[in-house]
Amino acid sequence: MIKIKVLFFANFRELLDCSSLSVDLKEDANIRDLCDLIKDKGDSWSSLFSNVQSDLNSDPITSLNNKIKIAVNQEMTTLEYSLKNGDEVAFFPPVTGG
Amino acid sequence: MKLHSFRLLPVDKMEAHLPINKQIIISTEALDIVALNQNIQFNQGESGASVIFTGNVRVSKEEQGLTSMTLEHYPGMTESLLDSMLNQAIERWQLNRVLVAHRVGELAPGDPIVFVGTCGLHRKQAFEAAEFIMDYLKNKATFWKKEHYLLNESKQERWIESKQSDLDALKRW
Repeated sequence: MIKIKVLFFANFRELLDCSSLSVDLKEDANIRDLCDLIKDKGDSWSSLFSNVQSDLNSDPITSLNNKIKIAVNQEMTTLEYSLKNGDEVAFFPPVTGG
Repeated sequence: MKLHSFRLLPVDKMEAHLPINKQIIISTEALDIVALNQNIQFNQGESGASVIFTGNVRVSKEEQGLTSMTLEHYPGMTESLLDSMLNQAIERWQLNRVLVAHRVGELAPGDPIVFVGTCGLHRKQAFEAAEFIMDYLKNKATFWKKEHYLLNESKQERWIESKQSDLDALKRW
């Protein structure tokens, strides 16, 4: 088993009423597996994570098609990323600073 | 905004950091635009041009009833993304001084949200670098804005959504 820290920001944090979470996953799990696991935590979780898709052909940061942004250890990534013990995964909406 | 709490160096200590001085400030306190400008204007002849940009909390027709704005960020990731943006700008436009300051927390109408200062040899470099930094910051830096409104005596709030026009601005670079 591997242990992952999961963070949620902005409206995702509010929707889920959760800013961080610790999750145990099987070895060689990827982010898609993480989404499959946490979507069963409740209605708001399934509404956010059931249809999570990652357009591998587009820039993971700037594609607006991709409404859920994913970072691992503070670098943008995609659903296919293979997780390691101790990874910090963050889910957030497209950024709106400046 | 207290100058000493934001890694702004006293003017007499800056020389050691020349030729390139890069600063990133993420502040829960109000941005002191005068102090930031003073910092970016430090110059011993190396900068032929400096450009500053300030983005503020706006209340136009579209934001009628806006009472405040909350800014949230992803500590650590924001700083490293900004650092990589500034490194790109320094290399591409040969900047010798660059400063980005961004507010987080609760802001009032008119408050500065972001300050960008760039210094280079010529004005074109300083202008373009400032635009590049703002375009990238708006699309990549992990900040999120929430607006708070008072409409017909009822409090409302909404998270701002990212805009296609901001995304399109990246094509220029």
